[in-house]
Amino acid sequence: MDHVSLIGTRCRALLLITVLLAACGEREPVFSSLALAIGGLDFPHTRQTLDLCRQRNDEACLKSYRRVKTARDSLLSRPRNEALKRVFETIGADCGQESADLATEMNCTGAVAALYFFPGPEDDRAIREFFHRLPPSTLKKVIASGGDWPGNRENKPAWRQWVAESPLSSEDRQALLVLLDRQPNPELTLNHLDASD
Amino acid sequence: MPSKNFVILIGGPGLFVDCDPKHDKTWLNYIAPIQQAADDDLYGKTPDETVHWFVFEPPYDNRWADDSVITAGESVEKFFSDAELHGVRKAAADKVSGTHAANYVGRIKQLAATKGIMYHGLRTKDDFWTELGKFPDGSISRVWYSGHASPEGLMLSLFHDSNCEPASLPSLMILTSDIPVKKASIQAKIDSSTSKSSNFYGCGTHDFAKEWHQAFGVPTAGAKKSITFNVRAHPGSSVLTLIETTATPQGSPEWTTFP
Repeated sequence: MDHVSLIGTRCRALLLITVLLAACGEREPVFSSLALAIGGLDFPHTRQTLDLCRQRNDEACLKSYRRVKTARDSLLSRPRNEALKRVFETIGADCGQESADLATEMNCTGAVAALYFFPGPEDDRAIREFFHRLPPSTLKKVIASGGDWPGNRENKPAWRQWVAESPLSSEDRQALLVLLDRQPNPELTLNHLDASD
Repeated sequence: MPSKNFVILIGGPGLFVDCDPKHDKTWLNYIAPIQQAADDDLYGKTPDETVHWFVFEPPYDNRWADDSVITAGESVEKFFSDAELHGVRKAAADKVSGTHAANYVGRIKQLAATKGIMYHGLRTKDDFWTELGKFPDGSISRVWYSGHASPEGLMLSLFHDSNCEPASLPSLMILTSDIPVKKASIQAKIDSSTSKSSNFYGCGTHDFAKEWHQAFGVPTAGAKKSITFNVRAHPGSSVLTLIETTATPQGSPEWTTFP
């Protein structure tokens, strides 16, 4: 093997290792980015704050916004049922661990936040069926994660009925009802991710 | 005889890291203004009030572990980059050691004791509600907060994700949406006739203050936009007023009261 092909082989090997390391570095960057919509310190939670960020070219704030927007776009670039399946898989895997590391907690939070983008009656049926299959501890974690997804349901009466018939503890039942009763806030940045930036 | 309880919940700093020099340069960020307000008699404490500091301890433990030792890796980094960051952190920890406190939590306990303030160490977010629930009925005159926050809630602890973005998690936050859920468990403890305001010093606490006001019918206040704790009060000025009014890159904090 001459020197040129040897260098070529080593470069390809190095490239492969880099790609593998990048893939292993974060299991699900979509959801860890979406977690910023709940816990990001620099994320502009409302449209007014986003406008201010733009006016002042606040790079930290805009970077956070772009991460959430890119993650949302990436998730919804798939067929809807596939995207929702991906959300369910992440909730099932990462919200069910008792003493989870930060990366796992971020994935869980982001997957719960992602439910906001699936507000329709068909989505709701799938979500309720999924919730029904979840272990109680995982469902408790989902509800404790808060977020704005319950307030964004199109068919709230169906959810209230589900809550009434669910095996949730009385405190979790009350918590979910409180979250369901919250009115959707049209000013939330999550409703303005399509604005140009 | 004190019969009312004035609670100040104090969140913790994140680590001071190279990739985010903007946040939490000093571990004292959320203690110092509250300490100074006590020194300057800005609490407006009435004779029947006992002041309680509810301190979320885990971030102070983490910060102490990070600040108090310069690791071999950090020494190497300093050799090559001449970074002062580790030195700044270590100096802060050494200063605390000089007070004979074992660590940052120990120092906060010392400060509370010297001011006659009752110290409560919190280890989980639920401890906040549990501790409030232990007070006699009608005895909580007001609740203040000092720390990181967003419209989603009070961030008791902050970390940096794999992109060095500062963030918290629902398990480390008193969420705004937690208030109506927990309302029933502490409503009887709140003095609903109080005229004292519950003030939430943190960025974007407007929604939290509004929710607290709606839940308990007491006066509250919070900031619509960002605030800064990096204020220096001069004789005759109030550190709390400075926090409420000092503009940040987002402009005026728009400190808002709910009567």
